Amino acid sequence: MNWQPGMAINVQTEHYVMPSMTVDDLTDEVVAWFSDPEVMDLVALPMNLTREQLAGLVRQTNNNTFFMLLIRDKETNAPVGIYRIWRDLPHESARTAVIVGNRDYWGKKVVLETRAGLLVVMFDLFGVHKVVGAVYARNHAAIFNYKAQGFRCEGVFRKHERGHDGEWLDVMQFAMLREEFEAARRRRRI
Amino acid sequence: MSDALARARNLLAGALEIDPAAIADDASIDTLEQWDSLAHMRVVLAIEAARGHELDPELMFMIGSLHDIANVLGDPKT
Repeated sequence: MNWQPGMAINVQTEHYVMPSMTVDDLTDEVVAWFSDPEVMDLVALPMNLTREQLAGLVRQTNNNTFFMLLIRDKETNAPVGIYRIWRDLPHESARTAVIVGNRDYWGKKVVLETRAGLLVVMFDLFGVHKVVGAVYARNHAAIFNYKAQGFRCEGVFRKHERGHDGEWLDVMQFAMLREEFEAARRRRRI
Repeated sequence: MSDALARARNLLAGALEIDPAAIADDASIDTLEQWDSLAHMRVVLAIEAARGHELDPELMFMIGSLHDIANVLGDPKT
């Protein structure tokens, strides 16, 4: 991929495409994800974000230090989910967060496939040395994905954030270093 | 076969909705195609139901094989 900072990206995997988002991607279907209690249950974003609030978030992207990518089914073009990626230039690292809003794709290993593609982009194209993610400790599905992909758990932040009901939630941080990524790639886990 | 391993096999089979006989002793998230993120959620919830309390996050992260489940089920300290 011939990419320069500021240029939109479009990451492709076997079944999905992930282009940089624009405000036009905020269809009724996509906006509705943010009001779905099951989708948002263990997501660290406020419930019921409006289209305008989401548009404000999309407008903050610069395709350099902050990206939002819309996951689309390559075959049907159906929107599946959204990645947010923050690139820390001084420390050569990146942080990711994902929402799979389209329930039809739950349990289909979407995150494993798409994040594998993103890891290649972040390590090979962006040149980061570390990729980080954090999830609520009760988000078993997300934890599975990190474990299955070879991320290491770096720690548990106890009662670190408030959930949607105001309760305190533990947060787990996961990370993959470049050498772990290379090892996983050699073992064809990525 | 230990009691904990047999219980773990039944628990995992229930979560993955497969025949217990299809689960080898060395089964893990790398070898069982059916062990996906939603199945893992069912595995953890079933372990917690069997144990009667939530698992510590660090312990939860360690669960990735049949033997891991057996160890958690068989160890009263966890």
